[in-house]
Amino acid sequence: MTRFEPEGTASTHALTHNQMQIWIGQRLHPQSPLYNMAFAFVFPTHLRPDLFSEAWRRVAGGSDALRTRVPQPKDGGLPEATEGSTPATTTLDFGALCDPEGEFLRWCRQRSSHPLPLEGELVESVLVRLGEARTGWYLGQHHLITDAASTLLLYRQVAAHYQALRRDDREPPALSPYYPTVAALESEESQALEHWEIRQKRPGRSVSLYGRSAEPVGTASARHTLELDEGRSRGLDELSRQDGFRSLSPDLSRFSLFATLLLSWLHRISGSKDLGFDAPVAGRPTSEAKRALGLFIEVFPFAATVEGNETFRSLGTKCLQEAMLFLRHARPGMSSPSGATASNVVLNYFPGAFGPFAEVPAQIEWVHPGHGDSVHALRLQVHDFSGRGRFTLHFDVNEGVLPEGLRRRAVEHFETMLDASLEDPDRPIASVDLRSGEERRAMNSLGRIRSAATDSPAPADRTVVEIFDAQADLVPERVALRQGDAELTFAELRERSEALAATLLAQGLEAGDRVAILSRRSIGAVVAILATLRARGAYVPIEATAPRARREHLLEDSGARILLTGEGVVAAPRNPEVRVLPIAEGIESGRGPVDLGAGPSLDDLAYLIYTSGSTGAPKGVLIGQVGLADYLGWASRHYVRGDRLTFPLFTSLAFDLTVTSLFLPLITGGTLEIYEEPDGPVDTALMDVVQANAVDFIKLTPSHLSWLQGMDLEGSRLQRMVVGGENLRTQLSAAISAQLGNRVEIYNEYGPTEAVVGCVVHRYDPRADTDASVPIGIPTDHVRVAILNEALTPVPAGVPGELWISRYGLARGYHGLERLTAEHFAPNPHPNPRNPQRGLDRSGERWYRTGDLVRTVDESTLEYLGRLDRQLKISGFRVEPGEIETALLSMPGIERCVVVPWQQPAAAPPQDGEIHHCTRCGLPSNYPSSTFDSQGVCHMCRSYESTKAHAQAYFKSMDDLRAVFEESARRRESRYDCMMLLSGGKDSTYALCQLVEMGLSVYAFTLDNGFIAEGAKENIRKVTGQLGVAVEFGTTPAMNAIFRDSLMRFSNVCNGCFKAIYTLSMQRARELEIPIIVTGLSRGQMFETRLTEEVFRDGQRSPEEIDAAVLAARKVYHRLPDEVSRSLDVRIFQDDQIFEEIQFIDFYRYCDVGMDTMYSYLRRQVPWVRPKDTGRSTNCLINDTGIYIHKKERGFHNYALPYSWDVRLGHKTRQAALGELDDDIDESAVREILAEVGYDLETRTADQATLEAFYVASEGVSDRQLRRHLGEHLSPHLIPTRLRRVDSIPLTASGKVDVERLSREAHEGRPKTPYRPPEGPVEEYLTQVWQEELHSSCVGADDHFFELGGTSLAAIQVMLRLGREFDIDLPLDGMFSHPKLSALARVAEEKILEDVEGMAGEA
Amino acid sequence: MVVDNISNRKPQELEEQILAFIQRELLGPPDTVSRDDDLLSGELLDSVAVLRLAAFVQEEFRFSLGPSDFVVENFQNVAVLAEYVRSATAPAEPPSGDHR
Repeated sequence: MTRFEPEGTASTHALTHNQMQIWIGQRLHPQSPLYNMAFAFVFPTHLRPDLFSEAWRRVAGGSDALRTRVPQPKDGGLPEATEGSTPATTTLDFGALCDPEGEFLRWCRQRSSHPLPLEGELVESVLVRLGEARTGWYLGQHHLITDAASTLLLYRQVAAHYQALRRDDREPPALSPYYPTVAALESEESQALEHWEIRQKRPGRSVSLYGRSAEPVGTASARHTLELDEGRSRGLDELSRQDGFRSLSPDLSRFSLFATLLLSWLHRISGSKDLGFDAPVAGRPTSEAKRALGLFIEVFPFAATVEGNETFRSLGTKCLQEAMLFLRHARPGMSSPSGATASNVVLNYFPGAFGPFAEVPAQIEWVHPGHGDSVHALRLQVHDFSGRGRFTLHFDVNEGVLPEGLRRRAVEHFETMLDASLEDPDRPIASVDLRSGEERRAMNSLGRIRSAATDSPAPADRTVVEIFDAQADLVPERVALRQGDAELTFAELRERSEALAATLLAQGLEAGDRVAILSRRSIGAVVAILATLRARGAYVPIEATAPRARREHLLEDSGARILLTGEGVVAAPRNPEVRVLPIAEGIESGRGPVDLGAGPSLDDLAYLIYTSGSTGAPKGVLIGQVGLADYLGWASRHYVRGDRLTFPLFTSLAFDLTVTSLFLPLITGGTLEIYEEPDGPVDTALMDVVQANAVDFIKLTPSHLSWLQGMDLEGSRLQRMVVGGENLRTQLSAAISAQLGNRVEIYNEYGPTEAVVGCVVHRYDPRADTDASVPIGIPTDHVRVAILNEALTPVPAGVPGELWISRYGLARGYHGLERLTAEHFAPNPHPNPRNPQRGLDRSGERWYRTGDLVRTVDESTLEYLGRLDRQLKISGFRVEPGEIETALLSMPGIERCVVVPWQQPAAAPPQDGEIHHCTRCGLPSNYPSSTFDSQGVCHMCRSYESTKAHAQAYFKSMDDLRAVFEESARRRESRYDCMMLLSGGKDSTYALCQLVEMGLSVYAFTLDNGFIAEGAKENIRKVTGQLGVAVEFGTTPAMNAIFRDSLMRFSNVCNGCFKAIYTLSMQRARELEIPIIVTGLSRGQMFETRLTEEVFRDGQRSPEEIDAAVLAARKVYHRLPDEVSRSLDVRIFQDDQIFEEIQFIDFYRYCDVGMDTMYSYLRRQVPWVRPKDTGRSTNCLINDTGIYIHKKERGFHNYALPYSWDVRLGHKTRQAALGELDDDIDESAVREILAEVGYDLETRTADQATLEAFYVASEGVSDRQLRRHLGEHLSPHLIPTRLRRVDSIPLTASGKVDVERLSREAHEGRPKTPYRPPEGPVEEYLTQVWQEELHSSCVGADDHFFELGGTSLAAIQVMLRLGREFDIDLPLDGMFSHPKLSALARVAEEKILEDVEGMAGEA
Repeated sequence: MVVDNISNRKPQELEEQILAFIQRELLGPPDTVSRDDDLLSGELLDSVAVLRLAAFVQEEFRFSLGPSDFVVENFQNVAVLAEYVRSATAPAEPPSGDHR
């Protein structure tokens, strides 16, 4: 028996689970029509308005759902549904208009785009006369009370009633059940819960389309409709009956089929393998529910992983299985709140058709309100509402996600996918080329060979030797090479290279033979290279600093018969057949008239350069003269442009990055400045280049570039800079560009060695380049690229894929490694049938697969995304972990090992376990290096017990303070006795009051850091007004930069702010000739910053000594190079005079009162009111932000220590301190402030990856032994920074090394150096610098730089900063000999002393 | 020890068990179901209900349904379903051994 509550009963009920979600969604976007479900029906008949209205009234009146209202709930209450009066049908007449139907549809679209207010009627029914025998009906409902099934029911019920009324039937059809009782109650099936939990945590919940950000913006969504014709619809129907798609019912089969198509398409346009979408489930389990109007659907996640070789059918089978589970577990009430973990894609498959209305066929349009749920980037709706046997697909795409052109293209891609599936369901999904004709043309035009006819440069037609010779003819007297004082002109260089070439030929060198060159960078080395080329040989550069084993290997592998050695190099190759020939000797013996034959041709080999190999041995890349000439031709046109430039040679000759700088001057009439490798483990020649400032052009890696950060490059001669070798971060590029006054052209040059130095280039543009990494750009001359997926199918624009390169002069392959060569070099994967052998490469059309993941942005610029394999870039060098692992395994005792990249994490590790507090002072256990004894008392309380007496001596009385002022007045007459740093908080305000009570004339100075609460400013004005005290609000436009800097360095805001206050106030005090500055620093803060345990350890530190130490520290403090010193005028701090003119007094050194005393005084005596909006602080809104960041990045509250002191000193109760530490910080407010200040939480990652090796060893193998062994086999940059011994190497379920577990297991049990706080300004400075370079929160004075994960480059950085800071000359590799902080500090201190003594001696 | 071989039960017994489950768990009054009613038309049971039925028979009669078993032929009506269950739970033919 169907129940319904008759009209007039005003009952209320709570919203159901799914109604709540919609209500919340609407509240978030109150003006948006996103939940309007609207239909426009057109009937080819006249519908009688009176009958229709009555039919409608009966249905609407008989259903509580349509009479629902949801008024605004009271504050904090939950919304409830109530019932209102029955909505009526409105009637309109468009018959008089000239296009009634068109007008009607337009009217419907307009209407649907207006939001339905929740408190009003949630349904609209409008009957519109369109003509004699034509009627339109607009039905609009809010999703709160309807779903598709409900709409179909509603339609049928109105039709049935209309029919009954027309026929004058007696029995009206049954009415709709009462929604609240029928709406399913929530169930708690555990299996289902588990199923959904797993789905919600999977990767792939949010998919990125065409490489765009996955975040939808706003609710505006555009609908693109695809009507499938009969052929496609029939084809789909047939497919749904085949194996792999067929299920229990036709609808289920179709749902599964569309799921398959959707996922295939998403896979291809996102490049992701783990995918999913949300889909609604009917939610009407009982037959009663099936007859009820109202909202029953719930949305659940559907997930699948697309493998590489997946076919449509295999994916179909997966979808069938997933669909089974999906339906099985979709219980009412189990769906997640929308937006929490929703997917950004929805599939709505609607079974069912409306059918005729009272025997009249209807024309149906589902009207799109122009808006949709903002959580969804894409909603795919599939229906056949009209029952014509043809599917209609609506692609509702959030407008913020894809622009219109891309939306259209997306639909085209879907169609292509659909057709492919119909044609051959057993075809691999990855093999379908989705691109439209237009796309193909655009992608292929990414670098087309240019023919001479179109005024573009033709490919190289002369070798570099010939071009050099031509230059030598032109400018024989010009200096070509310079090294120190030695110079070589073009003519001389030519002569010598000819001589050496003659010797080589006399030694029997034939075309294609390899000549190894083992030399430091020198004039001789350049001669040797040129000579080899001239003699038609291929030069094989071997680093003079390479370990012996490597040198031997390269020599042997290359098959070189001649080894040219540079000055000072002694070589004894194992192979006796190798002729060792010192370069100088070779030149000498070749002098005299020579016949060098025809000289090299473009078909000859040019060089053989080795890169890291994954199987352990490095592989040699063979580059021919043609490639070298072609690259250099382009580089000359692009970088040199006919100018005469000076280039530096300062990078390894064995690195093909160097080829550019080495050859360009020689072929353009420029000059090459040679900087030899300095002694020591790291090649720091770059520093010499910068210092000498003799070059106009430089090519270097990003790692090199980072050394230049912070250096003064104002006067640099550089005009053009090329960066290559590894990913270039925009931050770095911007910083360097700015340092160079933004007047240098900066190029990001990408290219694997196999594609000859560089083949894709982009000029850095500070305004346009805003992503994290600088794009790599577009292909250079005579280069073609393709971006392919795993199935070697070209990807659509914007989708990530592997980069393949073809170029003129592509590498011939890997020397002696045929199989590897075949794996990496292939013929064109997609030859153009019309133009088969349009070979770019002189040896036929060949392509190189790079293993780099890229995608296009802006249709043509390439963006580098990372590697597809294990290969890494460390300091610009290719590193195959396999090579290092092989070297490790060759050490006896090592059984298994794995090498992984490792980045020092920027954030503090998460806190394990509970935090407890000192029973006396409340210090939390997460405070670094805190220890607690058996009574729960912290180490600080214990040590204070013993130092208390001494500490007390430091504190004085108010009488002493009076004495200070009297003394000062005697010394100097001034208008003001002192300046008070007035923050507006309780401490400084109280102090001000006391000073005034003492009868002093005070000048109040406040720093308005941009975040001072209005309440605090009010306090300041009122209090100073009442006291009759002059007040000044100081500001600086650099405050945000200072905050950023403080957050970066200390993870707080107070440090930067304090320093700004000190700096500005001192300047002002000097201007106003005020002799004393009074601070409101609390005693707790004094203990925290200067009265530390060490100070009192021997009981020797008298107050005077402490004061002196504090002053010394203050001087260093004001001279530290940080944002404050950069942005504020700090010249006055450079000498000591100002510290003699102005004295700092801490009020609370003399005054001992507790918090309560202060508050009660302030309440009684002055109009000071504690601001409400400042959180923990009593004056400042940004304080909480600092606390938040500090907790997040360092793992503990930055006020933990000072508060514990307040308790220890009796100024605060422990309870109060604990309460203050237990902050509830408004995270959204913090983020707003961070955005205002410009601090980006996300980019705090270390720029340099290093390597970490885990090994299992049978017996005792020491770190030192390991390192020595590795040093003999590997180049320095390949040696892992950290070597960790483990018991076993755990694997994940898929058989890969479980790196996370490894890291965790290895960290435990590693003995840490006990923490010792720094002593003295040098150790203090070093601690700060180390912390920044190591991205560590806590560095102790006994710590070891490399054990903490420091890289050799970071070590150099530290030495540079240390030297600059104290203005001393330190060896750049000092860290290697003194890796311990205290030892390094001693070295610096000695140097400082030396300098001081030296100066004293000169006086 | 008595081994309950499900396939040895009378077909009627299986049908009754299945009908009882459907009546109790998947339908509410006034709906009823008989052994010949079409289960897949969508009028009696929707897709979700059919899947719950499939889960029931697997758990109750202790056998597994593979994806290829989820077909119309097996679930058309209760009679067919019962027969399917019987054949699916029948023990495998013993290997022809030495008994001649």
